[in-house]
Amino acid sequence: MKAWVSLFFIVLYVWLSLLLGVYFLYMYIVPLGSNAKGYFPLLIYSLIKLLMAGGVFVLWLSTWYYVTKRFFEKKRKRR
Amino acid sequence: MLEILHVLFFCFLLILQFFLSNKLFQRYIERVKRRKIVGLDVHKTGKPEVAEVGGVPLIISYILGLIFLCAIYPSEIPKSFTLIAVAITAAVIGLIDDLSVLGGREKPLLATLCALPLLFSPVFVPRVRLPFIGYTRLFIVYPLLLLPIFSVGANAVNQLDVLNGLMPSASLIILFSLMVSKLILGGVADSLLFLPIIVALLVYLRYNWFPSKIFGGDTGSLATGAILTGLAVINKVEFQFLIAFIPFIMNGFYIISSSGFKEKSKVRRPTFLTNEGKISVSKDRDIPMTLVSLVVSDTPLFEPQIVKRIDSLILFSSALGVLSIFL
Repeated sequence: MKAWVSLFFIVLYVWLSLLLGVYFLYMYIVPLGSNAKGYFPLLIYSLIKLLMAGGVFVLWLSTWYYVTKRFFEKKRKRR
Repeated sequence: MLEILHVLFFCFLLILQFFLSNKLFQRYIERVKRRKIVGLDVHKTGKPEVAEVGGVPLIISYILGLIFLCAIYPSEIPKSFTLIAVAITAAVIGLIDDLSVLGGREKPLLATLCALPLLFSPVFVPRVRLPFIGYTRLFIVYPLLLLPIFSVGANAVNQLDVLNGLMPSASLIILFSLMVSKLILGGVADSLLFLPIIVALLVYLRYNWFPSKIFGGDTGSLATGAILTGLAVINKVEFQFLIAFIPFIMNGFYIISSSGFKEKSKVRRPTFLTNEGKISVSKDRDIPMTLVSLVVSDTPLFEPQIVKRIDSLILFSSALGVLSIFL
């Protein structure tokens, strides 16, 4: 497959995984601490949620990066 | 009847903006070349000299368009002035970088300042529209996230401004998709807010397209990135923007993850010019991975060919962004 064409699949993968990520984030992570009241409990819950979402985000980015990197190296070596 | 007259008069003013900007760019290129404010076009044989800091006439043209919009639609004054403040902040950071190169860490940090005019503006509503969910209430997290969002938006555009015509053509595709998204969501008056930057970028594209007569510099690319981000946030099309922006984010992410936070000029060139004038990927082991080097990783290509391929990728991601509205 041409390198340029494979980029379309990477974009498609990012789009689909973002949609799935948003769905699960809002269904399972966002409801955490929904009964909390007051500014500080809300802020702490928000930060915890942000950290959790950030962790998943980093994991997602690193898999995406390594797949592309391997593909790129393979193409370069083949030339 | 009055509404149609308003739209017609605004269209006339946009045409006026186009011609005035065209004249402005012509004069600017002559003056800048006379004063030797030039850069080398490294992707051409002979490395010709090209006028630099084209972001200045681009921003002037954009502000002119927004003033025309405010004259016809006074209700858009708060949004227009917020966008002017965002654009000027980004342009000043870019101008500092163009005159005395900022470090790879300072630039993203300074770019967060572009979010401040929006954070303190009444037009900022911290509610993001997400697929499956609809409008969310992110009153604490969203204002905090706005700072890195602006930094990523401005710097990602800056990092992809490497080939003739790539930055304006790619930004135009994203802007059109965001405008269509806004029209589908029902904000006809608000979608007019996209037109001044579209006209300014069209004029800039005329002079930046292969073979380039002017380079935008960091002034142009940082300001365009900040304006794109600001328009997406103000018009509540953040998710559509994120999807359309994927190729830009991919490029920025690949560069940062393979070579760290280094200034563009200090990063090893991942490509080189062949004798035929094509761009090919470098054989060095430690080169950074970029979108351009990925496109040419299996075959060398001419500069306009690469631009067209990356543009088609952005067209694809923009279409996915518009599609996300229906989810």
